[in-house]
This record gives sequence, structure tokens and C-alpha cells, in this order.
Amino acid sequence: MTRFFQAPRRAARLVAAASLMVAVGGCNPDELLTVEDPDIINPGNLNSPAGANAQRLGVIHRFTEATVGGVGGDPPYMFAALLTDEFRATDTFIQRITADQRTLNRENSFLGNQLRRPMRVRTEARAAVAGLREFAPTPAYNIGQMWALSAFMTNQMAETFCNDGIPLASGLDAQGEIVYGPAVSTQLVYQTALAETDSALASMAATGGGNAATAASYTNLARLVRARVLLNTNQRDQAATVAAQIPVTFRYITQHSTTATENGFWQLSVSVRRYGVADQEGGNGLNFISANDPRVRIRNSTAVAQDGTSQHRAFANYIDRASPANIATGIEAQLIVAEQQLAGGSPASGAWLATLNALRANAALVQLASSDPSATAMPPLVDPGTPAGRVSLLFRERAFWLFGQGRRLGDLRRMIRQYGALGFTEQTIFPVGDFNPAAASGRVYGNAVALPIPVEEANNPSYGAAACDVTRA
Amino acid sequence: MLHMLSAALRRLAAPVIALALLTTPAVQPAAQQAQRLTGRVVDATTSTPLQGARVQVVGTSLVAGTSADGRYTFPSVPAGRYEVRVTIIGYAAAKQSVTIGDAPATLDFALQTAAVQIDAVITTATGQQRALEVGNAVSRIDAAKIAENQAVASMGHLLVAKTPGVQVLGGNVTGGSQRIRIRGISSLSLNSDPIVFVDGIRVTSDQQSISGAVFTGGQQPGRLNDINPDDIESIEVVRGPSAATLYGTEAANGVIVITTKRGKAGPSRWNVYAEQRFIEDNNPYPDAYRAWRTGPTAATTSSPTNAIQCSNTQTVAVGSTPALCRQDSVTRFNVLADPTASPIDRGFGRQYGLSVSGGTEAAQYFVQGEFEDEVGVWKMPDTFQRVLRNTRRVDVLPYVQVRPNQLRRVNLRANVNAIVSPKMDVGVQSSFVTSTQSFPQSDNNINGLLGNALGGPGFRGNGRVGYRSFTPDQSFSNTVTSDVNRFIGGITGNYRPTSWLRATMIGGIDYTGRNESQLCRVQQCAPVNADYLSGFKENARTEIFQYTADGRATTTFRPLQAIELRTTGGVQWVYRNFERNGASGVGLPPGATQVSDASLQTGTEILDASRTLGFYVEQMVGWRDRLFVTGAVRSDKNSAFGGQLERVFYPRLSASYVLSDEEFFPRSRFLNSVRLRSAFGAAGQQPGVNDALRFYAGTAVAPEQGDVVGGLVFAAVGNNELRPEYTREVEFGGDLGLLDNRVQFEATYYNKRSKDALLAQTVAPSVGAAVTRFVNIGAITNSGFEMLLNARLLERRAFGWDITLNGSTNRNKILSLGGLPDIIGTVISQREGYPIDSYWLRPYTYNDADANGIITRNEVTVEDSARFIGPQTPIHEFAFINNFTLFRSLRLSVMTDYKGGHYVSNGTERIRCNVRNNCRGAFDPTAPLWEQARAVALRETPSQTQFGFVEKGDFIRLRELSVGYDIPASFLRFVNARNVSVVFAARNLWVSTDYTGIDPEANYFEGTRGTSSDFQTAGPPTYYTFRLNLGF
Repeated sequence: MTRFFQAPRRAARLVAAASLMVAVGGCNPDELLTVEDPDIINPGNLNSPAGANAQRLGVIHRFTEATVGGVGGDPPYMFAALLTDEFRATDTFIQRITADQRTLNRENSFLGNQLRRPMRVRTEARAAVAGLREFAPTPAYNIGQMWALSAFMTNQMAETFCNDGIPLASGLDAQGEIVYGPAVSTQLVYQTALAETDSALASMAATGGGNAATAASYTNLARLVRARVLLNTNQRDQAATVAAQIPVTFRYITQHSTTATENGFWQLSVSVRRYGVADQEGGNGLNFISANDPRVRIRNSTAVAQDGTSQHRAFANYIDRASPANIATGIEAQLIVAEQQLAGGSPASGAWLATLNALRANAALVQLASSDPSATAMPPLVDPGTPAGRVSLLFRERAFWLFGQGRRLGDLRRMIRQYGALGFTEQTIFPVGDFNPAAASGRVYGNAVALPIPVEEANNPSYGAAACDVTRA
Repeated sequence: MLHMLSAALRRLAAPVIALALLTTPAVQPAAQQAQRLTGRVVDATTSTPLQGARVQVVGTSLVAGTSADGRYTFPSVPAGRYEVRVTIIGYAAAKQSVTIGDAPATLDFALQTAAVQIDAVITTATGQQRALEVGNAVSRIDAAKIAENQAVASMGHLLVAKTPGVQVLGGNVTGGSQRIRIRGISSLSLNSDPIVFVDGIRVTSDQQSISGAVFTGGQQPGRLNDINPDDIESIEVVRGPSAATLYGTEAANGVIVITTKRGKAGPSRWNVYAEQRFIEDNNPYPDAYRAWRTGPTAATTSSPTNAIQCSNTQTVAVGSTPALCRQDSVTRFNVLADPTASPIDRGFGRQYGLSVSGGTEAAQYFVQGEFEDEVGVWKMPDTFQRVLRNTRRVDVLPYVQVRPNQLRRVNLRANVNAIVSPKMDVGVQSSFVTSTQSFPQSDNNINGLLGNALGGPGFRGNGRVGYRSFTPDQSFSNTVTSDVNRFIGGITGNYRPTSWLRATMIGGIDYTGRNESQLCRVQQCAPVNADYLSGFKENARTEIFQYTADGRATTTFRPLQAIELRTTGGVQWVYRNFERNGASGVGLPPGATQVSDASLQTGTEILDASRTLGFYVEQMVGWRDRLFVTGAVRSDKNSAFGGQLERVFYPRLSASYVLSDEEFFPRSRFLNSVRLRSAFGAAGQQPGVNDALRFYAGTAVAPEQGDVVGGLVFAAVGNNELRPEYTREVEFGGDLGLLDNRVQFEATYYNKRSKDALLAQTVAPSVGAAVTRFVNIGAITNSGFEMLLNARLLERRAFGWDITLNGSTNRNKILSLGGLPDIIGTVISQREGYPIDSYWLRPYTYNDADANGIITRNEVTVEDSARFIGPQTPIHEFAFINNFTLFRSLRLSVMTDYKGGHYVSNGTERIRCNVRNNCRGAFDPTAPLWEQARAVALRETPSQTQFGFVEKGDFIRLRELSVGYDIPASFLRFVNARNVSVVFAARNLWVSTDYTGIDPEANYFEGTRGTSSDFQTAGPPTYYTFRLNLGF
């Protein structure tokens, strides 16, 4: 009974003790929870001229990843080329094989990067522009460069992905919050790219110090993107006008740090042998190997390809992991001029052929395209004499001059769209028929002419469930 | 760091000491009349003293253990009348009354053996407790006995199939990590591993614990295997949040509570043991096939150096397409079965241990050391060794290249317990392990051994003895080593200022130092890429510090004779610090093996830190020692949530009712005891340390002109609203003692629901940001039944027979994805209403319409859309253990287990059909139609469906067999030994399954959750172990 009466007193002590425990132990528990983490860089660290410039450099890194940078996945220039006659998948990853077979679907797990990487350039370029304007407004061409790179990616996506399916308006707002956008028409994507080149060129025109050569380089980059957009939208005359302002020796490249990026062509084709140059792939493909063209250098590896059976034919224009890659050149500008001369001018005059032959006669340009300092001038072309033959020849020249520059898929689609009346169809210019018959695969080529929007985009609530048509050029 | 810990401990000590000081001056009239209470505990049948029994003065905090002669002592028991309870494994608990008056008292016990142990003592978050007082099912593994009698080689061996509700998928290579799942998978994106405490100290138990820069392709070490099974006294598995609440924010997947061995009062006891083990790989690896043809040109004719074949479907007309070729012949070859080419050899291992324990009633010690090494089954074939020695012009090859899978380990342990004063005891536990392991290139790896062995061309003469691209000498020359130095140490102090108050402080550290390397010497490895050709070295050095500080105070008193109240309040702080420096070097000159020798060198640095601070309080109310109701709550904060630092509360309520103790309960020999129990509780799981934050990361940038410079890229979107995953669970169950307590039956139903489930949601690529972002979405449930049956069927002097049957079911379901679209994968999807990681595929049917024995694509009909096939995780699991004893000295133990209701992706056969072009179904016209159909559906239909390669994974396995013999006492005097026993144990002897792949327990791990599949992965090896135990 005595113990019973002691109970309330003990309970009171317990309550007091518990209160004291919480009070003492909990007086500043946050101190016990504070963690310093040097792994991360907070957004506040960007609020300075150096921070804004570091962000600009980050966009350049993202641009490399979105073109030929070969760390952390297949670079877009290469993966999209599987769909064409440029490259073959020479390993055993089904994601590459179905892309090469033109049967890839939106669940293909390599696709996410193909959209994410160019969109990262756009998203981060906008943030960089805001930072540069606030903290480092001069030289102004740095801002112009950001717009030019963004425009480059916008146009590239339109050339690569299925029609009317790109959710271009997605991104991050000024506070870094996610903004979702719906799929827009491909026409709007091109209009956006054009507007971005406007912004780029306007920024270049602004006064603000810096290096004149750099300013010229960025200006020519923006001009070339603009010319490509105009060409894609069937405005050849305007395209040629812009392209004609670009010196033929102009060259904009990406370089590689080797710690963050490597040249993807070197890595995936030369080093690890997962991509091989194709030769007359699917019957319709160009003879990129057997033509022995100096602009497309082939390394006949003694080792078999990564699939364990194929003889490997590596693309050897880029000889090591740090090799810079061509992104935009004056050669392409001249090819645009030639196309206008062919399609818009008078083919019989031969101006277009002269333009093409002038490029071939310039050994320095062959060296520039092939990264081979010993390359020599090429013999002139002969007019095939028919409209279809002339267009075929022009696009063949584009294919060899621009091999590995992410242009081939856009070119093939454009041949169907703009020159379909001459008989260019998916069945006549894309690889068709039995796929890799030597491996007894039993597979046949599909009919995709564009990359689908990856299934991951289903996480965009504004996008909807509709999948765009990959069979429409 | 130490000053921070010291400050933290001081801070944590304050509330506990305050509680103690406040309560110490409570009325203590009896304390002035305290007397000594002693006694002896013996076996009722044999009168043998029982060492290690737990003696408790009921209604107080007074607890003692018995020494080697069965004696116990309470130096100071306040005057009064008490009940004293004794418990020890293998015996029925006993309780007697005693009155403490003016003189010392004595109370002896004689215990009856029993299979039923509802009174067993278990370790909970608030200290030791009788199992019957808690409302949860508790699994206890007598690890010391298993290690001694069944010769386990790893923690996976110790845990597998031992307790209901715990699924263990073992590591199938020497030193490989096991996967443990308790009551299913609760999280979509976080790992589902339980957390582990050793002697009250939270320890690192990471699976797949190796730097990401060091590549094996699949098989990796796990930190749980750093713990020596021979160090362990017992393991308790806290299965779910209903019991794990007080372990806090990271306990949602359950808790494994390990108690290491302690010394017991008495003379020094020396124990020596030695093991020798042999390992064999008896798995059925498939043959490779090749269909040869002759065409009109060399380019269409098969040759040993090309890949031209004629598949089954090319030999017949398909619709309007005529036959394309004719098979000249079909060859098959299995390089793993070829004695001159196979890299599978007999593995071997050994283990030597020495321990000494003993002490006085005031201080006890346990000290043990063990050396272990094991060499796995893979060995470079002799023919390749000869070639390699000639090529390299050396006499001896590096042993790690000859035997790429090895383990060598030394474990040391010292545990000391001391009674500092009648009111205070202190325990110090410490262990140190140093190990070096090597792992082969395996699994999902172009350089992996099995990928090349199983992907071969179907004949021997391809210039690589039938291997696909690379041969074992090339694969094994790419070496991966993992060296670990690890210290786990802790101090536990118990202070009992009064008979009703007990304060406990636990402080400890778990330090893991890892040094991992991958080395390809120049021109020695497979020519996978330029780096392999030029040679490379990866080196990563990791330090993981994990500190635990836990302080609690427990008061126990009886306001009425029928009522016992026990209150516990405590605080726990856990701090984990992970630091890694990595270095890579590419381009090694001949002979070079270090990063600093390389032509291209890069470095990395990682630091992650997280801290959790939790407060908890628990109140137990006991009524007449038969009804126990416990309520508790824990409140946590965790650093993973950035500046938000939300406090989370985890409640718990449980009840246990020993119905059979009621007077109205009918007594019978059939039904001896009945306990009903129920529990509700919640626990959590936190995301990664930076998952809530928005941040940038630095990167090297090579601008279009100039040198490489540093730039910043947007790295993470973050989520300010992130909360811990919150899992609540309810369970109901009952325990029965039957047939004179010879049979124990437990049954439990549980229902676990996780809300605010953390999902690494894929950020739409169009946003142009990080790939994923953690969000709290939806809900997941796991529910099922668990049962345990222990029965002592026969107990004669000449023959004894015990059985244990445990089983469990688990139904897992995604209740909601929070409005997000289903997460669709090619094979695995996450969809509302279905299990996590379930298989969704487009099924097909087939019909050999033209009866030509060849299935073609027009004879296969694929459904238009994917449908649910089944879960990856077993739904049912049962283990049946038979223990036989002959003449009390010869023991035979057989354990068979079953897992079923799940599906396994036969990725090995799938890739062989799809791209290796060597599977039977595609190239052998005599293959069964079902096998042809799955190859055709995959290879030749637009769906490319893998339906035929996702197979039922049900199996029955003869998991363990052991025979032990205790040398009779009459012989022991010749060796002056106390006891000697010999054990032969075998593991993974036989399996029965309809699964057509290598083994349904192949364990190629993927993803954070550790989903597993069979992907060019070795099946479980067979172990044969001989062990000798000597006691002096």
C-alpha cells in the first residue's frame, strides 16, 4: 500500500524528468543535425561574374554532350546516325540494334538522353543568359553564343525527332522550378530556332569589348544555324543568302576535357567498337567504306567488333579521346549555297556543280573535314544530267562532307519532304530489306525515319499520351 | 570529429542523468535493509549447472546471469517479497517467490527442457525484454549453435531460411553480397535492406559495397559479411515497423539485432575450431549451338571464322518467302563442360579460430581470433596458364589472375563486462576485421567470364577454344580487389541507482576503411577498348564512420501487486559519414600497376554525411504478468531534408495476452499455453543526403578555344517538400504450446502500408534537367502470413527428432502512384494495383500449323499489349528443418526450403537467342516447340517480346545438411579436453525446379532496390565443410 501511494510522486518526478530531458536534449538539436556537404554547389554561388561565366562554360559542356560527347551514354550525333546509312550497331545492345533496324520504340532506354541532352543545352543556356546579363554583360557575344547554341539544339531536335511531337516549352523557371510544356508543331520548333538565331545575332551586334575573332566565330555559328533552319523550312534563297556570309574556312568545334567528356566517335567506334561505319547498308545506303573517300576515314580494326563476329570498320576521322569534332563549318555553308543554286537557280548553268567542285578542289577543306593533314584535293564531279541524279549527287556530297556531324538523318528526311517528287521515298533512300542477314537474325528493317519521343516524357503532364509518328519525314 | 562526438555524448547524457538524479531520491526505505540474494540454476533432469541463464527480480530492474556452475548473485535486493524469474534457451521459464528480510536469501531453480519458449528474452530498442511482453512476433536465431554445428561460411548462410518473413538471396561467389528482404519490398526507389545493430551500435551493412569506378559486372562484396558468424551469440530479426518503431527513421525495412558472445563467470574456457571446406559449381550451364550452312558464295557459307548460320526459321518457307538456306549440320559445345577449357574448378577454404572466455562474478571476458580464407571455383585453365607464361616469359602468374575470386580475412574480438559497483555495470565490445577479397569479371559484362563462356559459337575451333570474344586468361587478367579494415566498438553502461530505475548509455563507432582497385596491366586484358589495351588502374579509398549514441532510462515498479509499470525514455543519435577519394589512370607502361604511373590521370572526391536525432518514450503496463500493453512514440529529425528539418513522429502500440495463464483456461496435456498478440507501429525511411536539395556541380569544360577550365552544370532539381517515407504496420498473431510443451506453433498476419512513398521520379527529358527527382507519392502495401512450428517429436536416450517448419507469404501491391503515370519498362513495370517490379510482357501463343516441326513467325501470335505476368519476389517461402540425435552424440540436420509464386527473367538464354545467336531454340530443329517459339517471338516478331524468357521461379532446394558427432567424454581425457565434436556440413546439394535457366537463385543485381535476375550469372555453389570443435 505504501508503494501505491508513492506512485503519484514518482509519476510526477518522471514527468519532470522527461520534461527536463526534452528541454536539455532538445535545446538545439539542429546543431546535431547540421551537415556540411562540399559535394554540392548551391545556386547562390553563381551570383557573381565568375559564377555567371562558369555557368556559360557549363552550357558549352552540355553542348558537347548533346553532340559528340561520349561519356555517360551514346551522343545524339551517333545514335541518330544508326537510323541512317551512316553507322551500324556492331555490338549486342538491343537498344542500338533496333535503332539500326529502324524498329525502335519509345521504350528504348537509350532514347531519354537523345532528348534530354539537347534540352539541357536550351534550359541551361537560358539560365546562363540571365546570369550573364546580370553579372557579366560584356562581352556581349557570350550571350550571343548561348543563344546560338540553343538555336543549334532546337534545329537539331526538329531534324531528329518525329514531327509535331517535341515538347519545346518545358524547362526551368527563374527560380529553378520545373515548367512543363506541350508538344508543339515542328514548324513552331523551327520558328523558335529562328527566333533564337535572331537573339544570338542581335547580341553579337551589341557593343561590348572582347575578341573580334571570337565574336566572328560566334556570329558565323549563329548564321549557319539560321541557314540550316531556313533550308529545313524550304526557304533556300534566304538560307543561301545567310550562308554566303560565312567564310568557307569557318570552323566551330567542340573539344573534350577527357575527364568529363571524350570524343564519342573515338570512344564508341574506335575504342570500344560498338559503332561501325556502314557500307551500302540495307541496299540503299551510300558506300561510305568502299568509296575510299578521304573525307570518311576508316580504320580496319584487327579485332572483331563488339558483337564478337563482325569485322570492325571504325570511323577514324577522330583519332583519340580528345580529338575536337566539327560542329559547324564553312563547307556546310557552301553546300547550302550549292543547293540553292541547284534547286532554286538554273541547274544547267553548272553553278551548283562548280560550288561543289570548288570545295573538292580545296585540299585544306578535305583536311579539315577528315582531320587528316595529308589529305589532298579531290577530283571534280560530273553532272549526272537528271534532276534526281543531281539531287542525289548533292546529298551524297553533303553525306561525305558532313559525315558524323549529325546531319544525315535530317538530310534523308528533307530529301523525302522537299524532293519527294523526284522519287525519293523512305523505301528508296533509307536502309530496307533483310537486316544483318549474315547473323541469321531473321529480322527485317522497319520504317522509322525519326526518333520517337522517349517514354520518359510521359512524366510531363502537359505532354499527353499521344506519340508522334516516326514514319513521317 | 571526436570533439563533436564527445559534445554529442555530453548532450545526450544530460537528459538521462537528469532523469536518474531526479528519481534517485525517491522513497527508498527498503534500500536500507537490502540483502544479498543468491542461488543456483540447474537442469531438472540431469542436475547439470546451467550457465548463461537470465535471472530477474520481477518488477525491478535487477537482472543477473548464471556462471559456469549455475550460480547467480544479487548483491543488494531491497527488503520485500518478490518473484524471481529464470529464463534460458531450451528450457521452460521458471518463477519462484522469495522474501528478502534481515538476512541473505537463497533461491535455487531446476529447469525443465522445452521446445516452447514464450518466455524467452529478446533484445528490443529499449533493452532486454521477455518475448511474451511484446505484441510482435520475434525471430531469434541461435547463431552460436548454427555456426558450430552447421559450419556457415557467411552471414547469408547463417540467415537463409531460418526465420519466417525473411528472404535471403545469397551471394553466389566467394565473398559475394547477399540480398535480404523482410516482409517484402516497401519502397519504389529506396533500397529495401534492413538496418543492422551489433550490441546496440548501428553498423554499416551496405550491399554491393564497392566503388562505382571499380567494375565487376555484378558480383560485389557486402558489408554484412564483415561480421564473423562465429562471433555471434544470437540474432533477432525485427520484422517490421510494428516492432521497429523505436529504431526510427531508417527502420521501415526491419532491423537485424546482433548480440555477440559474452564471457561467463567461471574458469577460463578455451575453444578451438578448424574448418576445411570444398566448393563445387554443379549448376547446369547450357550448351551453345551452331547451325552450319553452305551457300553459293563464301560470304554465304559458314566457316569457323564467320558468323554465317542457318537458323531454324530460315530452313522453311514463311508465308510467301521461300526457305533461305539449308542446315548442313548443327553442332553444340559447352565450354564449361570441357575439361581442358573450363574455368570451373574446385574451390576450397579453411577457417581457424581460437577463443577464451571466463571471469569472475565481477568481470567476464570473451576474446576470439579467427583466420579464414576461401578460394572460389573459378580458375584459369591450365592450357591458358601455359600459353600466358610463355607469352609473358614468366614462370609464375599473379595468383589473383589464376584464381580471381578469393577471400582472406582475420577477425579479432574482445568483449569485457564488469560490475563496477552493485549499482553499475559496464560492457566494452570491440571487433576488428581485416580482409582482402578479389572478385572476377562476371554477369553483365562484355569482359565477363560467363558472358563469353555461354555466348560461344557452338564449336571449339573458333580460335578461342569455344569462347565468344574473350578467353579466361583475358578476363581474369582484369583483377578487382577489395581490402577492408573495420573496427566496431562500443561501450554500454548500466546504472541502477534504485531497484526500480535503470539508466543505460551506449556509445559506439563503426569504422570501415575500404581500399578497392581494378587493374589491367598493359596488353594483358581483353581488348575491350583502348583503355584495356593500354592498361588502366582504378583505385578508390573509402572511409565510413558511423557513430551511435543512445541513452535511455527505464523505471519499473508495481503500484499494485497485479500491475507492473515500466517506463522508458531515451534519445538516440546516429551519424554516418562517407568519404571517398578515387583515382584513375589510363595508359600504363609495362610493369606499372599504379595510377601515378599512368599517362592520363584523374581523381574524384565524394563526401556524404547524414545525421539522425531521435527521442523516444515507451510505457508498458503489465497486468498479473499475463496481459501487457505497450505504447511508445519516437520523434526523429534527419539531416537529409535540408533546411526543412521536419520532425516526424512514429507511434507504436502493442498488446500481448497470455490467455493460458488465466484460471479459467482449461488445462490439458494437448494445449499448454496460448498467447494472443497484436501490434501497430510506424517507421520511416529517408532519401539520400542531397535528394531534397537543388544544386549545381562542377565539371571540366573544354571550350571551343583555349584550355580546359572549370564550369558549372545544373545537377539536381531538388524538392523542398520532401518527407521521409512513412510505413505503418499492423500485425496479429498467436503462439501455442502443445503436447506437454513439445510443440510450439506461431502464426502471424501482418499488413504493412507505406505512404509518402519515395520515388525517384523520372523528370521529363524535355525539362532539360536531372534524370530523376525524388518525390513523395502514393502508397505501397505488403501483407501476408507467417508461421513457425517447432516440435520435439521424439526424445529418447537413443534417438531424438526435432522438426522446425517455418513459412511465410507476402503480397506486395502498389496502391497508388500518386497520380503519376504508370512506370513502363520493356520487361518490368510499376503499375497501380500490382506488385513492385512486376513483369509485364506481351504474351504469345504458337501453333505448328504446317506440322513441319519448325515454329516460324507466322505461327506465333503475339497479344497486342503487355499484361501482368507475375512478381519478381517470391510470394511463398517455406523451410523444413529436421534434426535427428542418436545416442545424444550424433546429430543429423537437414534443411529443405521452398520459394515460389514468383518469376525469374532468364536473361542468359534471352541474350543467347537474341544476339549471341547460339541458343537451341533458334538453331536446333530438334528443339521443343515451346523453346523455338520463344526464340521466334523475341527475334522475329515486331513485338520482340521476352515473354518466353520470364519463367516461373518456384524451386525446392536441399539447402543444408550437416552431421555432427560429439566425442564421448570417456575419450576426452586422452586429449585433456572438455568437449570435442566433429561436423560435416554440405550446402546447396540439390534443387528441383521447372525453371530452365541456370538457377532461379542466380543473383545478378540491378538498381537501388536490388532486383535480381539470371544474366550470365553463376548459380549457387555447393559447399562441403568439415569442422572440428575443441573445448578445453
